[in-house]
Amino acid sequence: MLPALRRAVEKEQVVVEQRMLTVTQQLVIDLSRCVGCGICVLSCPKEAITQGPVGAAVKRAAPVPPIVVDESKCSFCGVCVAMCPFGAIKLFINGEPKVPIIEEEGFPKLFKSIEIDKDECTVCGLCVDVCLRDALTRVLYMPQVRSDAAARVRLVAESIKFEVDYDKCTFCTLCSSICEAIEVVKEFSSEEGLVGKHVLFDEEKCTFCRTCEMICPEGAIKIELATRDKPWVGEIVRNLDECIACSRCVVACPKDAIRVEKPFEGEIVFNADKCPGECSTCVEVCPCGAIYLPQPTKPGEKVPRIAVNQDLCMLCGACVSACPVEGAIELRRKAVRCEGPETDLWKEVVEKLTKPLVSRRLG
Amino acid sequence: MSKSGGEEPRIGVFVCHCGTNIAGVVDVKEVAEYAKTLPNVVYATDYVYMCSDPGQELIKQAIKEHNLNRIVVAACSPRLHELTFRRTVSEAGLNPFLFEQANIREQNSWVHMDNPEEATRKAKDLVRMAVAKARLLEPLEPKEVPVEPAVLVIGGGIAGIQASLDLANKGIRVYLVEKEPSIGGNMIRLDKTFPTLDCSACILTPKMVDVSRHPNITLYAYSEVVEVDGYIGNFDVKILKKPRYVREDRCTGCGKCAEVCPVTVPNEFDLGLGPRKAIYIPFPQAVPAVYTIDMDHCIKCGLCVKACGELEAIDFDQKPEEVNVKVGTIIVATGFELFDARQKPEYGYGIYQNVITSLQFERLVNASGPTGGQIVRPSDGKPPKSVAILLCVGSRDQKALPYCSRICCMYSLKHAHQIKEKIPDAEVYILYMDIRSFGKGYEEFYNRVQHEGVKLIRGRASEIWEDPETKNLIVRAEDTFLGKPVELEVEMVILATGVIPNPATEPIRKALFITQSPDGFLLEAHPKLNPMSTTVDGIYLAGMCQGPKDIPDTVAQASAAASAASIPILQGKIVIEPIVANVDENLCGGCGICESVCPYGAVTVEEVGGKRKARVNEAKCKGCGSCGAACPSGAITVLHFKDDQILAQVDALLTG
Repeated sequence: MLPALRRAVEKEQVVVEQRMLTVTQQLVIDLSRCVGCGICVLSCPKEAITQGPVGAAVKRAAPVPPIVVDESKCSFCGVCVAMCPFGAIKLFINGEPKVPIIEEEGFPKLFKSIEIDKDECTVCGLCVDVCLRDALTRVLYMPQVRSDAAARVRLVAESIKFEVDYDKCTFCTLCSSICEAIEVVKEFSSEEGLVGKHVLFDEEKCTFCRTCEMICPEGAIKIELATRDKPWVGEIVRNLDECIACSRCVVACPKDAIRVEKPFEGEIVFNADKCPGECSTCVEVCPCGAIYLPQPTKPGEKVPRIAVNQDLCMLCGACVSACPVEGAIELRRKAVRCEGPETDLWKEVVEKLTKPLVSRRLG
Repeated sequence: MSKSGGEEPRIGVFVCHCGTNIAGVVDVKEVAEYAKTLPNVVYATDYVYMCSDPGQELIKQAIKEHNLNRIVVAACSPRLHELTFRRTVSEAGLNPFLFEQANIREQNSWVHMDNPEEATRKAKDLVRMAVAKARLLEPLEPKEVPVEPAVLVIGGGIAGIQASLDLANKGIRVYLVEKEPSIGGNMIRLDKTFPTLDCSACILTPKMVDVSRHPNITLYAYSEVVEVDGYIGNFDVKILKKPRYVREDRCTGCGKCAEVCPVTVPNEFDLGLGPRKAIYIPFPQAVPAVYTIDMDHCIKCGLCVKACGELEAIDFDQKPEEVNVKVGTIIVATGFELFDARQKPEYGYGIYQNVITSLQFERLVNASGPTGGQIVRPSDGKPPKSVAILLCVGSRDQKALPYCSRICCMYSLKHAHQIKEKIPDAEVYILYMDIRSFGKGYEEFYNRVQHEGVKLIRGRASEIWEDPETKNLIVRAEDTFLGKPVELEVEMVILATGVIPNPATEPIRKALFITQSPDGFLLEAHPKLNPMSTTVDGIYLAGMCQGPKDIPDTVAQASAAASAASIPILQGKIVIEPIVANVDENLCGGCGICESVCPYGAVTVEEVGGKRKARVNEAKCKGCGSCGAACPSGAITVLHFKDDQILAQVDALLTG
């Protein structure tokens, strides 16, 4: 019977579907990405999403959705898609990923950015190693075979300058006969004899071996290399859809070349005295790996039961949702950044997201 | 004896033969002779037809010659001729309520035709009782009340539209109230109309436009009648205009808002087959062409506000608005909805994707529907090569609706024709119990469809199964002509679901104190002679709310209701029957039992000089006597049916 509303858990994803004869809308929640932070719960304009069990409340033998969408309340508007910092929710209209509210500029996207200073970056790839998702990849422009001399030269050479002193050149073609990069052109005319003579140079094929310079009987060839400031070895390619703005790359970069802008401003406070310890649910759910159990460095040293690295935290609040202890974790978001028009609806969402959150006793 | 100014009653008794209806069984001469022996009877006679002109003249002459002041006619039921004889009596100079009719036909000669002796004895008893009451009759004065020259029409389907236009064209002000965002009702959903195959929208939209333009019609769309107070001639109506969140005075219907709206939901108008936005008009020709925001789905993103621009028609803060109007008469035209086919789970509606209802098929085959008129089946969007149409789904079914829904046979023949027209190689089966093609041109249409190759199987389907692979449906039935079970595999099934009264009718029915028949439809005043009136004066019925009917019958009844509703208005005043409840305030304790039992809302308990006293609204009171029977202190009596009058009849019966 149409219209048909359906919600189903299918292979690590929850599909919420509204089917008409000509239009099918699907909200798909990727359970491998959803951390249960609850940002969608607070953002949904129809209050159609509720928090499911997260962390200590759930033993993940089978996938238990950390958020529950009430298909009868959902308007399929896509605000949750725009707000999810983990790219866990997608809206499909007739099978195509589409978010009309963003296309029509009725709502902005959550803002985050990774800036890499190319001058500083040595493409060492440490950032790629520490990235928790697939937000960074190292692409090297290395020759496909090690014997490809021309490709190797390209890594360091901005350009190769090849000059022929035509006053000296006799067009003997010795140079062109030993090198693929050089071609000597001679044109004859019946009336005037030899009329055109050129030495052509293909920079792409030059391996900068300088043999031509040395072999020329007249010393007519001069070859010079304009080197790059930095060798052109490769680059770090960003994928913002995957980035969760944890800043691990920033911390890891030996050249301080990366800047990450997080979607939220504010602070997270761990009241370690309230934490009973031996639970570490927050550590498990934290998508950024920002929470840790401090270890004493010397015998007898007293360390807090739990701690957070503020630099790595992106203020998503998954730990607050998961923590079973009243008041052990407090999250105070002060501002939310966006990309696109700051509509009234966006302002309402920001207001909800900037209310302080405190962990609550389970049940 | 008489309480009317001490005047001695002089009673005349007139016994009617009604041809042989009465005289063939009852010895009318003997009854007349017997009447002469009763106290205060000064004249008695019999005549072949008392209701005829000479019969009435006989009564008038007798009144003059014998100086009669009370008249008893023993004849048919007072429901037929009480008014006739009251008028006769009045013409002779008597108060018309000094008349009493004894029913010796329906309650006597017709039911005791095998026993003339006993019938004659019973006629005497009835006459004796009537005489006993006549002795105590009191003169009553009918009251006149002015009539508000306006009519309320509830429901903007074809019935409400037709009634409104008829009234408005007579120069009468009409308030038309429709609960949906647009008028048009169910008819505007249809594709073609049987048997002429006129395009439904093409014939209805001109009338809808007329409604919107007519200077005498005030249209309240997306509004509901919430309270009705008063009585014929003077109804106070409270109408609630639901917030559209779009200002009717500013919206131009340009549709830019809907273009940008990011929220897509199923369109109720298309019965969920097609989409609409959260800001919408249900269909392009909607009247009024004003957009409405569905707040259940709107997320208030503000894109529509931006698109609307300088018109500033969108107002998220709009509140429900109350409008009060005064009208003289009311027409109820609240229509129908389809029987919920899920109540017949054996047919798989709501379970199997390719089982649809007839109204869904109308949207599917409609050029302005979601598929642009292409017939496709829901599971794969492909044109079905075989379709089974099941008649009487819910209708003529002792477990669901016992009645015939009257339209399904014909619309299903039309559906079969439309499938054959659009998918010529499709096999179409109709499973029926009987084909009821009773209207003008209907039987001819039935023959035409049969010749188009539609296969009619006489038998009710017992169950439907789905092949989970192909999503095809297997229909099981018994072919009662062959006496064999049949099994059909088809790609789509259309359920010709019956009709039920629109559920929105019920609160209106209660507010108006109108009654319903056992089938749930509103009850007419008389099934033959007054099918467009209710038992409540000044309230009339049009269309499907009164019972299943097709479009021609609906239009005819709507015009009849409009005509009936205009009569009190054109008369300018109405006479109120003085047979009403009367409160003796000295006895009334203000307990309020009368208020709770009154079926017409005519009795209210009010503060009178610091004490609670029952008050009767004489215009609303129908004189049923429920309050009088319930009153614990005997404070309420019904005039013309006072306790002493009734007890005198009882005494007369027992002491005769």
